[in-house]
Amino acid sequence: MCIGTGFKYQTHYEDKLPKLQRPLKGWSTKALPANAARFRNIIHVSNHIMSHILHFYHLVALDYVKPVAFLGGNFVPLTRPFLAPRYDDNYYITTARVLAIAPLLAALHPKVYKGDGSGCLEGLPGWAVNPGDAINNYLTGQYLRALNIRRMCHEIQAQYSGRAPHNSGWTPSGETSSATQADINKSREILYEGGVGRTPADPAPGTVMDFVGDPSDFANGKAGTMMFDVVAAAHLFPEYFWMGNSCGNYMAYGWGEEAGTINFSDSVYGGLLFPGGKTNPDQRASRRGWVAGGALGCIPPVVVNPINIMNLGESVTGSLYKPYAGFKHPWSGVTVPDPEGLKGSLGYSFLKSPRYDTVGLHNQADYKVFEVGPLSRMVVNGCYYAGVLAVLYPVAPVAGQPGPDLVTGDPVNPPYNDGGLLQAFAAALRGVYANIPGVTGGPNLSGVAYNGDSVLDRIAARALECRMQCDELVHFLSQVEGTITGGYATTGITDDTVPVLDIAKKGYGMTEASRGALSHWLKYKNGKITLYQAIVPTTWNASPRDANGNPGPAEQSLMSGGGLWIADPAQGIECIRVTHSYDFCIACAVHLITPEGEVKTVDVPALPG
Amino acid sequence: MAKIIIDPVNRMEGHLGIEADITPAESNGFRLNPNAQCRGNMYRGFEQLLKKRDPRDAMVITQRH
Repeated sequence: MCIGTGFKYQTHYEDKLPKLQRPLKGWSTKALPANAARFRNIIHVSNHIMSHILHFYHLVALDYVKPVAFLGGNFVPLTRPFLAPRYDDNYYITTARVLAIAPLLAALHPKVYKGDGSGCLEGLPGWAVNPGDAINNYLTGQYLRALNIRRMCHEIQAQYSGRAPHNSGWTPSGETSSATQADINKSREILYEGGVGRTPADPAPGTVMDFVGDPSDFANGKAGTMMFDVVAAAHLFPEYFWMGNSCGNYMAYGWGEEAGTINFSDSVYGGLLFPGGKTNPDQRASRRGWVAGGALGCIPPVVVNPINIMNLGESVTGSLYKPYAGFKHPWSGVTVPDPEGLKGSLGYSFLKSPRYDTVGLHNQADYKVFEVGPLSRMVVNGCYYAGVLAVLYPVAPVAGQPGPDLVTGDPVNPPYNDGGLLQAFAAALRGVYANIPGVTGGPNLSGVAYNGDSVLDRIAARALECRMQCDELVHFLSQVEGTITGGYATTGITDDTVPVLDIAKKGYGMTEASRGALSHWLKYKNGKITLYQAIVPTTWNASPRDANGNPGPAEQSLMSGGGLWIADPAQGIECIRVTHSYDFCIACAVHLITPEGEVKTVDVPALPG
Repeated sequence: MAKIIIDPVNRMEGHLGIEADITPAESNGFRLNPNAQCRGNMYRGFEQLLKKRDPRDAMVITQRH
């Protein structure tokens, strides 16, 4: 039984040829019909929502949660493949960790924990037996619920893409689909109405938007939503606001053409950020541009620079490809694997090192490292920056403030967000780390500034974007509904909109995969491809050292703050948490499980996403 | 010098390895040295296999993985 072949089937499909003609006219001068773009937006955003839920619950959460079932009054560890914890129990959510943080929560979030049994967490099954595993059990349930919510997102997508996964309706310069009022109604039913006529602001139980939840859910004690769970994780593991800091440069290609005017203030989170209203200046649902932050550089007003596609370049200095000097633009890219010949060289990865020349003169030293992904998109759109979480939660790190010292619980550190909370967290967590064999206290983060690009920032930005994208999906559904005539909304494809191949051209496609900026580049002659290069999100984020010797964003995350602190080299879960905060996608494998439960892995060649 | 190698990193789409030297931290635990590496361990080959194909095939082929 094949249970998984990777997850990134959607976005590689949509960026290839459809957009080639648009900015460059390399494919065809024929315009993408407006309604085809609107259909694609529905497909794109419902896939992103699905993917964000996937990433948080099914890839990230098990770095923090020990899956358990509550049976007959006892907690029973789940030992199924992929669910069984790989590290010492003390690294996960434990009773010691919960009870260390709980008194702080009682003061800050009385609806979550009161200490008298009436907070929402205290109502969890088994809380009286073991509060840590009560939360683990609750989040295990959320993990399982999320599987069904993802199916529902696929269901919405499949109404417009023919099927999901593996969209079959997307065509060059078009989209072969149509929609009726019944289709739109069905999407809304899955998204928020729940068959009982509820609204996006008050979604019905069991719907997608009900599961994603509201940024204020934690403060309001409304458990059972992704937003609640993300904030709960941030409270239980606050040290990760100062761990895994990246490069401070953010790149986003944008997506969602023909989206019309997107008003960020229409979403709950956007309304908090932009009470006076804020519309996207780009034609897209999400902007294209780059922000060179460095420390705190992304704090508003954010300077969003336009992307010049000719300023992209890839280095292979750290790669296992036939060497070339400096950076090559993908239209002159060379990808010749040479793993044997390069043994002993500087190369160590089959990923290249994409970089962006921020000056534009194509001098080698100007090619800079950029992070891509939901955090980058949110920064480029002005929706996330160091310190922004303070608009949502009383317990949020302050921009530029150093982290806690869990070694000593040092009381002289500057405050967290108010008088002394940082020290309180530090002192409380010190005892938690002492439960890990061989360690007294945890990391000393007092020399590390909070820059808004930590492990928890990437997770939080992804969840907040997921919430905003739910609102965008509502918007896109109404757009298509408004074009129904004679019973159908059509994509506007006619014989005249089908692209015709020129004799020789080059083209590219740029879009945003859920995990970040994605571009494909090609040249063709006489109807045949002569050059093809893909610069995918993971090659940005997981890239090796480039021709300037600069490590990629994830490598920088492993080395920032004086080097990532790990409790025990034999465990290394801290490395995993940093790595998983990105949404890497390297190449796929088919996992086979025999009836006896034996896991076999068969590698298949695949395109990194 | 002590070294930490995690390869492959699980619960990820694909095969990534992490390798870094480590040194004891100031007071307890360890820190990764500035030679940390992220390794993509598999070659994908799309650049080669798409050559000589119709450009319109690319969007279908690169999706199917």
